[in-house]
Amino acid sequence: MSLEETEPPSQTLDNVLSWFDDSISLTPLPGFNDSDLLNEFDWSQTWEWDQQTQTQDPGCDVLHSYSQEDLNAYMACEASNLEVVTGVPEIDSVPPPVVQIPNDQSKKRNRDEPIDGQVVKRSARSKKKADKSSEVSRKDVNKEERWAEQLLNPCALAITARNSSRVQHYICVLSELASSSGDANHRLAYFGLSALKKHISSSFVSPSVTFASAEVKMFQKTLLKFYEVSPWFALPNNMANSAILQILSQEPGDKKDLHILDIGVSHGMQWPTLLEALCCRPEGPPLGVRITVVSDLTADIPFSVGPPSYNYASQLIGFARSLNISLQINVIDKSQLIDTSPHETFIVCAQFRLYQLKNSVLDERSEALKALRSLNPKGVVLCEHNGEGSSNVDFAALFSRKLDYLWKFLDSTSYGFKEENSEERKLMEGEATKVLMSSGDTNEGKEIWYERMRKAGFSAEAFGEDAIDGAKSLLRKYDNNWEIKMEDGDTFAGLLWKGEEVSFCSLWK
Amino acid sequence: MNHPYDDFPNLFFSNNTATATSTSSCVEQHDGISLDMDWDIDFHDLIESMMSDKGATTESPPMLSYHHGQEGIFNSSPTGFSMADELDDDVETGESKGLKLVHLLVAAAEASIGANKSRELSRVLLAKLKDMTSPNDQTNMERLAAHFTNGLSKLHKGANVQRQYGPHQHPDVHDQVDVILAFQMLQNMSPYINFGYLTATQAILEAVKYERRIHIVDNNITDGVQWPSLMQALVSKNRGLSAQHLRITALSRATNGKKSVAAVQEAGRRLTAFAESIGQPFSYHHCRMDSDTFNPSSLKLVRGEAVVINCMLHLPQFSNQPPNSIISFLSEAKTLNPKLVTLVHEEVGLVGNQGFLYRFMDLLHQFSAIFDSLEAGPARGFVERVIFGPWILGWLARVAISADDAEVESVASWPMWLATNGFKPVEVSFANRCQAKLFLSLFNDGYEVEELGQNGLVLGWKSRRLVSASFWASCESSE
Repeated sequence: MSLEETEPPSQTLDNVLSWFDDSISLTPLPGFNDSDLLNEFDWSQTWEWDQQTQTQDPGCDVLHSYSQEDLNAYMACEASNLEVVTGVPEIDSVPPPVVQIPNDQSKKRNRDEPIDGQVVKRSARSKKKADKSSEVSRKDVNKEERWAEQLLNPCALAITARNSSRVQHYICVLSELASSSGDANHRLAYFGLSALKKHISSSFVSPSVTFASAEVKMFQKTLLKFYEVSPWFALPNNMANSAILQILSQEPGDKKDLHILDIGVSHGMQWPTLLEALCCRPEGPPLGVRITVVSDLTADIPFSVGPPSYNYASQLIGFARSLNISLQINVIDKSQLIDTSPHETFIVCAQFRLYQLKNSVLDERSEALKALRSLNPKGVVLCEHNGEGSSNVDFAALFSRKLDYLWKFLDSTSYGFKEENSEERKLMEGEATKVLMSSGDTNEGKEIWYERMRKAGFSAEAFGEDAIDGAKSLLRKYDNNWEIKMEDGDTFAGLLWKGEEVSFCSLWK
Repeated sequence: MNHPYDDFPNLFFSNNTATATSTSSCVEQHDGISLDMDWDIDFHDLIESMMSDKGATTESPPMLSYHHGQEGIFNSSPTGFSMADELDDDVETGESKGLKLVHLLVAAAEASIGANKSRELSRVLLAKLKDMTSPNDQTNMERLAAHFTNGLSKLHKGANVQRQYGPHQHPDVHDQVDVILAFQMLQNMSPYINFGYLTATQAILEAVKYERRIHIVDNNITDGVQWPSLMQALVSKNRGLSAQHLRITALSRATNGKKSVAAVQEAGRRLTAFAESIGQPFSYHHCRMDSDTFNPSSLKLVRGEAVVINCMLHLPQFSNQPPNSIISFLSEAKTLNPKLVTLVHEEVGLVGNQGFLYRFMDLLHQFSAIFDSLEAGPARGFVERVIFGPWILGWLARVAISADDAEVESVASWPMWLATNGFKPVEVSFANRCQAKLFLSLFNDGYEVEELGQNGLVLGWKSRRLVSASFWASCESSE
């Protein structure tokens, strides 16, 4: 069970949807000032601030940190202590934002939570520990039940071996088992089969449902639903926002503008929460906030391209205005120059996009990171898929890794979406399937990215307690097969599904 | 007297020479399903030819000519990568259900007993197959697939029971009366069983022509149906004083339990009664093998009698005959200095290091040919259920074991084993060849007899070898 049961999730969703409905009908906008909507945009975040203040028992924290033998953890702890001494405002010293916002619903929630929340949290935590102990055997069980890959991978191997009768055999068997509406295995077989057919025969047209071909309303509805049922993006976004706040809090006192370079796939979903959080700082929001969105309409990787007519900028600006934040959004092409100014705190937020760059002859990924370094950002948030990385693999090995990625996605959506065949689920899964058609290597693995970041001149930065606790409490909202794993002195936050790596978030300076 | 052997065709010593010369033309032609062939071509070949088997039946799906066309294209460029076109065609026209079933069965077999076992995948595949087939389906392929699915499911469920193979452990063993009845029906529907009986019996008759006392040691007598015709032949040949004495010793294996002992005794009673009715001097013995080792001293031997070893390995495997038990029997039997050894066995690739998949495909191919060759009739469903269900399961269990343990079925081929273990070939007589052909003319078109070396005959169905008979003698035995 989770806390969201204190309030029917559907109700929340309805409210949010109405927010979208309204905003879509709004022309360029001003006059957009409904405090209800602000709250509803992502109430889970609001809730999560609550949780932080509750769990943030300083004494307990210190004890916890010192009990860790890991030197890195110790260092991280030192750093955060230092901040307290120098008087830089800590985020957890901020009073819960709910109190500041006059809103009936959040009050109600606030009233309910302290009692229920504590109990639920503890049981959830003990359950997770038990799960972890059996992690190894669990992985074996996972593999065994993933039968679709046991047909798709040999088929890909047969293709690379040019063994056409074997390929035909597998394709025939897969066609019998594939179904776009069955369980995760049947779906994976369906999507994988389409991809293989496409690979063999260029004339094969696979029926595809993608973001780009979706209707704007449907697209928004889908994103919201997905954020509600899966932490796939919600968690990285959440950690990124926490990291941004963390970096801001470490900056010298004079008020600067905030400039975020958004190389991500959130389609604006990430920012309302950040804007809200910025307002809740004791010193208030920065004078100006600038978000430069790097768009790449040619990208073939999943989740990066939305419907052509979709534009969230005006809505988001209106939302910011209601919070008395002056927000500026620029959308630039990937080849355009990024203008930064010394009066800004410049932060790069790269999520699930950089892997689309080639790493074959010229390592474009490294080049991109070097280019980012030359902009002198105050911080870089890097979130990428995580897997067993290796370079220069053939079609079959690459395909296998993509299947692995897609399996985790489909398996987790089958837990997240309660309805078997909702339109939202179809759209998300259809978009995720792009990964099989794309040329990039999805699951390169954390080590390779870390290596690149270091070479580009960045050094890893630990996530603060707020970020970690925030992420942990956010995760409790979702299926308990999800886990978060902090490593390397809290510089690395891994998101795990059924004990297997899905993605990681990292913070760099 | 009314006995079950009345309708057995009495075809001995046929004088028909017209058909005799026409067979040898196709002898070496089918060695092409060669063992050293590229696997992928093999696989395709097997599936294609299996489907073309279906082409001759009236129940076949109407797509066959299409598949034949494809086969040609494929074979002409086995190394080419023309898959894309074929693929598109498949997508457009849809594959015939039979071909789909073959693919699914192969995948299910791989998942349940191959080297890359996966219980979950095999469960999913078998569930799919169960949905698609039923033993009462229209086409041969569908019904055959149903039996294979059933067999694989049983292996899947009782993964631990695999070690002891043979259907007699399984709960759905049919009533013994049903089995005997179905077995007789099968003999009327197909020459499969009687081809072996007939050629072996003919060879025995020729080998013991001048012997006064004949002692046949029968490795697997089942219901004894092989012998009445021999008795009749003996009686018709020598009346009165010159009558030859016939003695049959039937083996039973302790590992097969009481049922097998009872069956051996029942066969003895019937044979004794029959011999008496036609005036054939006859005695019957029962020799129990306590383990898989054969001990010749347990046989009752009479000086001067001609010993014949009769080894029928092609019968539906209701009894458990592990290869080491047969090896023991044959090598010990050699010490009896047999005048003749008859060996009849199925032409299934359960041999050597062909790999599990090859064996499974071959098995599927074999049964598909048998199913195809069976004559239609109201009893067919009954025969399929009672005989073929357990028969297929028994084979699958053997394939599964050999997949696990190559040692178990390591005999590359029985004729080869005999040739290298002190046995010499005994030539097939002209009369025997002619008789076999005449016998086949009683059944569907499509059966054929091939000669296998100088001492063997093979029953084939549309270029698929089903069962072969070969004749041997101990090297020491004097001619």
